[in-house]
Amino acid sequence: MPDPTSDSLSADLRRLEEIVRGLEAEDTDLDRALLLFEEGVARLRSARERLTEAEARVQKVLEDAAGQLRVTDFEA
Amino acid sequence: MYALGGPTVFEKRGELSLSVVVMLPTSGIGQAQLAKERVRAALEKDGLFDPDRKRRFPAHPRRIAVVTSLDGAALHDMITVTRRRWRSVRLYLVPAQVQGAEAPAALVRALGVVNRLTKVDLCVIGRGGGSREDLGTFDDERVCRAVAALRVPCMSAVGHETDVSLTDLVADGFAPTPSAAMERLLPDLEETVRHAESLASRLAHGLGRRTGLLAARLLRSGDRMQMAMSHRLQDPRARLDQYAGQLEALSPLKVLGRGYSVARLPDGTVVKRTAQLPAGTGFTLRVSDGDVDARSLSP
Repeated sequence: MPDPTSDSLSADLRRLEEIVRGLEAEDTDLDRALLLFEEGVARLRSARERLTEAEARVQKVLEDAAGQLRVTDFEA
Repeated sequence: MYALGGPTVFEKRGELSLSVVVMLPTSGIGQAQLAKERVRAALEKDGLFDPDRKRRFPAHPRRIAVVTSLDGAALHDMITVTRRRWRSVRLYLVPAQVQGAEAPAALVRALGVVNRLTKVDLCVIGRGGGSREDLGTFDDERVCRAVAALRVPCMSAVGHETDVSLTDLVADGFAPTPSAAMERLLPDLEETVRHAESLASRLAHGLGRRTGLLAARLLRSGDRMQMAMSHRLQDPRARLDQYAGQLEALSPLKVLGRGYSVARLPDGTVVKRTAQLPAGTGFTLRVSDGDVDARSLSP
């Protein structure tokens, strides 16, 4: 499961590039090609999840008197 | 203005000449400029403008802290650009006064809050255009040092016509307006989807070249995908959805659903001959819904 907080989309796309290059290389044998394809589909699925997210969220962060951070939805 | 220099009197000619060493302006703006130069020198001496300090911004940020005022068009513009350009992001708005005597302290506090937010990828600090005095907040030494102390890369976006704020120089990057900052920081959805689509298509082609019976089917699908790519009118996200679905359907592993399985050695090699499995050899059996650890009993 990719870490949703890190720049996982960049990592997915970068890895997909490598996978595609691997599949396109003449000397990759079928076993390896299958593994690469499988991983490629998983990476693509994860990228798709990220790209099809519904809507950007805006939240407001305030520090209360006790120094605690309060995060609330913000309507522009 | 004040001038510091040495006077020379030419008695015979009745002339007084003054060789000026330093000229100091006395107007408010002149004072502010002097103060800015002093701060600039101090920050520079501490290496805060050092190009080596500059951090890169993540290509696909997920959480962005925004330090700006709740009033004013800047915030609204930033949200509008975000919604248009890249929806897969969360903005954490940390409000702060951006002008007036209280502003530097407020901004420093807000930047402190940003440092306490976990999992934020980057920070944008800024405001829309204003008078020179108003924008002076972003030349304040405390504010600059707080920007430099951020744990995440920071983009400074002060709405200048021509000038540069000191926060611009300390930050990891700067933009002429807050909305320009968002344009620069957020990837373009359409472009990213197109990139993913081309990778999906190459993925299908790449495998197709290697799998005898599947080749024709895969290549046909790859071409279909490339055709779909030219459909610019369709929602890019829907297009990508379609791709991923097609690719999954294409996987040679789909046949597992019909009762076949694939045996693989720990290094991923597919087992094709008995010689690959001397008694005791561990391998995994991939069936339709997952992997099973297995061990050979013979030969």
